[in-house]
Amino acid sequence: MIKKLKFLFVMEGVLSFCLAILMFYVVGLSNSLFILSMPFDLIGKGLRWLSLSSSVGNITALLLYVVLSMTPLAYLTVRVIRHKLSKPDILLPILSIFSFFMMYEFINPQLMTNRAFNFLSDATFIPMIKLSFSFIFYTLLIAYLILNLISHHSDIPQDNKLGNLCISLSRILIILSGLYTFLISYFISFELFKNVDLYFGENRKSINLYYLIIDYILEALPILFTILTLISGVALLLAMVTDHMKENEFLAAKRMSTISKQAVYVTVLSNIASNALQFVFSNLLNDIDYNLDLSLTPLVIAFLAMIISGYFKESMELFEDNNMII
Amino acid sequence: MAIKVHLEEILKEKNMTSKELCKLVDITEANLSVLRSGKAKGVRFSTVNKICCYLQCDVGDILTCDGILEVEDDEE
Repeated sequence: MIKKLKFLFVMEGVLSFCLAILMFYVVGLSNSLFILSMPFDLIGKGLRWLSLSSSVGNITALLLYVVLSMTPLAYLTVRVIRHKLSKPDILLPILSIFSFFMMYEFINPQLMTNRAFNFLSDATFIPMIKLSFSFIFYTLLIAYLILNLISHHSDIPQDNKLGNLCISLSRILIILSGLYTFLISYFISFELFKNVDLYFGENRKSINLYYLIIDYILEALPILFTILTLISGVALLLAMVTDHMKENEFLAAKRMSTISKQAVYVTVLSNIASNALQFVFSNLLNDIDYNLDLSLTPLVIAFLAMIISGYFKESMELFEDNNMII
Repeated sequence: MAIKVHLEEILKEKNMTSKELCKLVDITEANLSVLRSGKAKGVRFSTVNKICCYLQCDVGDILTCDGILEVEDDEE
């Protein structure tokens, strides 16, 4: 399964690279983040076109607008009927109300400058305002999903529930890793094309392109090792289900520890190389951005993984000893 | 190890197979095999209790000590 996961993530990286090409060179987006507001923008434009097309289209657009905005409330109703209501469900009506407001603004984008953010009242800021609306929507949605997940698994697992918890966490990690891979690959690829256009256009020297490609690689390497760390986490969780108290579990923890340590090395060295590169090429750059990367997250993960692998080794030895007591 | 397991002899004496004993004592044949071979690191009192009850014998019939303390590899 891990090999399939790695293949899937490689494909995702390639797809997001192609998407970045499409968005920058074909669609002509000026900011990589605008892709996040694109779904709502397309729905808004579609509903607006439908509404203005005919009276039947107008009624259809209105119905679709209501149905789309009411979807969180409809889900809440289903949960009430199935007696599965929980505290995070309070966010569903809030999401619905916000959707009503947001979709109306997306259908009539000129209203955005009048109703919200008075300091951004120029129409040129509409894409930024659309992005703000989208961010609030995603924040509410992600908050609901996370809070729901936590409330579902709030107790310490007993008996065979540990296996279920590991399976749930592995699924969460797979989804998060997939999203992370896709979005980050898209963003850094988009930034590469943006910089190529900026630097290569102004001052056609091949050294500029070499710098941009090296900078792209130095940015991508820590991300690659973060993804590998997440995949090793998934492998560990699956080993905890299928090979609990056996050698494979301990080996999976050891592998995660190794990859986390490599992630720390790569992140730190990439940071040094990136800063050194900017120093060397400073006369060719329009803006310089020195970073001091403390690499705390991969460092903490590396230490945790080492502690876990030590703990698993001890547990495995105790388990085997216990098995030898008849 | 100084402790010797004489389960094989007792089973022959009592005309009982190891499979029958496993079912009565509720341990696996693999575990019983480990016990018979003397490779077990320990035996629970509950297991010895059941073996003695079902084989109608004393603990000393199953386990004897020959007084020779051999140091095991993992204890060195």
